[in-house]
Amino acid sequence: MNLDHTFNRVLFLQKIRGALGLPVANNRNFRDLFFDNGNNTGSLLDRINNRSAEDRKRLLDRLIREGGPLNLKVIPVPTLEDAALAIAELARDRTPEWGDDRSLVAWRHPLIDSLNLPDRLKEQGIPVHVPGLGPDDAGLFRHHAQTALIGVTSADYCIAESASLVLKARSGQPRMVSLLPSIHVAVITEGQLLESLAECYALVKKDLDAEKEGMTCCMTLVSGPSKTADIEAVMVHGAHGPRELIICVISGN
Amino acid sequence: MEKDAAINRDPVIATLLYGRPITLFVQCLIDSLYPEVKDAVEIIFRRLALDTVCPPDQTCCGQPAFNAGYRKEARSAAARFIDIFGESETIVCPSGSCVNMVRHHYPLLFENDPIYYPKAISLGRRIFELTEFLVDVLHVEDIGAAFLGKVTYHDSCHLLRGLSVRSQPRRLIQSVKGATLVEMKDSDRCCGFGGSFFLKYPDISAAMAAGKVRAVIGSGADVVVGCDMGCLMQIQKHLIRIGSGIKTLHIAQLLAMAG
Amino acid sequence: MQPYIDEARKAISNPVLQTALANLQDRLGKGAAAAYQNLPEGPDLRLKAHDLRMQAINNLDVLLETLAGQVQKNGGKVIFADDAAVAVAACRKIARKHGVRRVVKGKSMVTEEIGLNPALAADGIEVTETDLGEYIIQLAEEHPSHIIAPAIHKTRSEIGTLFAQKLGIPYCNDPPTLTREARKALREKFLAADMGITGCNLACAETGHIAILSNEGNIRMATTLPGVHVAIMGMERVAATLTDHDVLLRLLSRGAAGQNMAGYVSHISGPRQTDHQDGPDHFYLIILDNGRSRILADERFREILCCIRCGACLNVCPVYAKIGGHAYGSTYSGPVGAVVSPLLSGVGRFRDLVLGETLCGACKDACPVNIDIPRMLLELRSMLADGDGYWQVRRNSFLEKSVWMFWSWMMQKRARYEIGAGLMKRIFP
Repeated sequence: MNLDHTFNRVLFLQKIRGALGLPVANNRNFRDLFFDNGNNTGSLLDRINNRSAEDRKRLLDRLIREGGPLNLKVIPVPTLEDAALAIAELARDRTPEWGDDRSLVAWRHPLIDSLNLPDRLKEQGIPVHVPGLGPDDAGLFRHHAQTALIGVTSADYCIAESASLVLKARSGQPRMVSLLPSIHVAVITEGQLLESLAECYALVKKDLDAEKEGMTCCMTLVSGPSKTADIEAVMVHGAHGPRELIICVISGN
Repeated sequence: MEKDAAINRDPVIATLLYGRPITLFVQCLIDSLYPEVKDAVEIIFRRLALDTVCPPDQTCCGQPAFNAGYRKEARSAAARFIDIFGESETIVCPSGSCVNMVRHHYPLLFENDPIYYPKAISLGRRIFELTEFLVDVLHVEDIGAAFLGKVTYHDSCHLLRGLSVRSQPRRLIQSVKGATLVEMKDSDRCCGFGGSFFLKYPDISAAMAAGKVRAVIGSGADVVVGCDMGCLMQIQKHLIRIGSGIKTLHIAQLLAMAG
Repeated sequence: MQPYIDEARKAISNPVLQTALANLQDRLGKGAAAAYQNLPEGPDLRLKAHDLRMQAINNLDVLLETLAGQVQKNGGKVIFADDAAVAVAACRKIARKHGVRRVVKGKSMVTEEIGLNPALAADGIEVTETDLGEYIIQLAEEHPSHIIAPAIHKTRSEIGTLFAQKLGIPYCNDPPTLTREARKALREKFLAADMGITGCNLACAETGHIAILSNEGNIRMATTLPGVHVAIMGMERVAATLTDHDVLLRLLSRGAAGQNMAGYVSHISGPRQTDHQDGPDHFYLIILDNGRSRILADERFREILCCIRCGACLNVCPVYAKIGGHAYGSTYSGPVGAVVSPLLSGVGRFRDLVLGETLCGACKDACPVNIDIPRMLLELRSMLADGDGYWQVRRNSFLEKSVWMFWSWMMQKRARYEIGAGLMKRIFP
């Protein structure tokens, strides 16, 4: 059985051309028609590259301001050490949801690795699980993620205007770390802050043009903890995803 | 919306300088059921020392048929309207929905008619809703009216969204001596009249009117003022139904009240 | 003719529903208006978005071909489905091929449109709706009544009773507790599912991804945990470039819920890479026509294909506020439903949707892509008045036509008009 039937596609597209009053054979192409729709990428990239320390402070303030109403806590911390302490404190204070034991899952990521969480939490008896680089022990890791209290990730970018973390899917950085645990903590540096979604897309586009990873198979924007208002419009956090979202921004002061 | 802002007003001012009269188009609803509103419009212009004429042959702009989908029938009424008002330099009408019909729907009705299409476009530029004409064209807000009490204003849909008239009637009300403008909740929400809608779907129409009436009462106003008799008829009917003493007034009636 | 009026009457006489609808509009309708004002480009971005959408629709063949090519390049499979039957059959085939027993679904209007759930259930597959509102509706065996707030018509105590019955938990009427219970029940479903089915809010041809929005996180679950992901999109839901996508996504979030950005936005371009620890092994994108090309061919209505299904028009419509979603008797309710339902499923059948509106225009002002819904309602009314060959619409009523012909004759002479005016005076003293 071939679901990807070329014949269907041809007929389908011909029908559309017919509806649009165009000749059956297509003689137009995407680049010619839509090239202009993406032509501000260059200026956006310039803006990102020429950002001053002051600009970044302004973005951080914006992120904090926009995050507030979304119940998204932004903690600016001077060093990695402070971020690690904040996570350890959360791991100690918060009540587990999916089991009695406290545990963490974390990305395999340079910034997260350098928090040294497994050693730091060992004395408190809190295990920290980090995925292997292959798909081999994925099943076991999924089990850990299901029961974890906290998931620790970094992010590719963080958009100030909408308080959105941008997470690309990669090996060692499973999507479920930011999804299954009760609390999601993201650790990023101030340099990863962007102003707008347009800037994020400009970076993706640059990547695609260079035939690099681009969006990856799944790029997720996360703007606050999971929420629902489906029962009598009462806002409740923790519908399916994490009930809490905390972003530690390392400001490097 | 954008189109309305770009209306060229110069010919109108020129007309006034030459002392030519303003032509009144009297909405059929006013003509048949509320002649006092027409009288009020004439009082206003008399007070402004402007002459008015009212073509004796006028009937309806065709909106009821158009909104019901009967375009052929609407077109014949519209063509007649153009024949009657085509030569008038400035036309004023105390109804936002009629003006919206002429300005925005006539071009659509006559889009394939080489004779009437340009006439429709030109007419659309020369016809004005009453408050739009007073405030935007004549630049008058205070026409010496007086009314002691609290007034709330209902935004008619076609006047507000079709002609972008929101502030003009409010400014006129605020200039009435003794009157205080109090806003109702959701003044821009449809009252549920909708032409033949209120006949075809009386339950829905009544439910919508009930909401409007609640907002009117909630405002604490003594009277409701509007610029379209269709809405005011609907609101008045439902105010009476629940035993409220609040009265509806066409804005022309309010502005015609002497101090 | 009667269902619309009867269902409307029922809704109007339900005080709980009336309050819920009023609160919904106060919150979401006003939230969207305020959010447009907050756009960095200003509220006129809606006008630009309309142009972008029209440009996309006018070149839909090129966009879909590009999109399909990119998705395939990324390892996904694309199926072009002419109608509901083809789309449903494709879903069933995919399920059979991968031995699927349990499906978790993200909220999707288009799967409602094609009647997917009953077809899968008939194959012995357990289908679970996972958006909380949809889950409630599924447990209650009802239909959604709002595009983004499907259970708006149900009270907390009704939901409490429902959960007590269906989930076997003690009765309570506390929304946080009820949400927690649903979270637990649905978490098990997510973990056990073999296939996730979602809609698609907006695809992008340039990159070959689809974007799916949610606030609850159920979409992320359904597209991360099961081994197979099937996304179904109406063929019009595609933007050309990332730049267009940016504009539309921000407007969609604002129109739907007054948010700068929906809580979660998944950009999905294919199955997981082999070295990834999670994500589906298989990704299928079904692109559905089901009557859309017929709309596309009629320039009077092509504009409705700009719709990105945010529900903003429902949140300001004074008629929807009174009658709720069920009266429309169709997957698509509210002002957009009043245009789309007749065009997809029969103008004559849905004539009450066309006539039962006041043409107040609030929907147009609320639309993130500035669609002129009142204009199209007027066009549909003219079809009903005089019939239409292309849409196979017969004249609504010859009696009504005669009345209007007579009216038009009356308006041709002042003397006749005055007789009519006299009559009016009798009817409305």
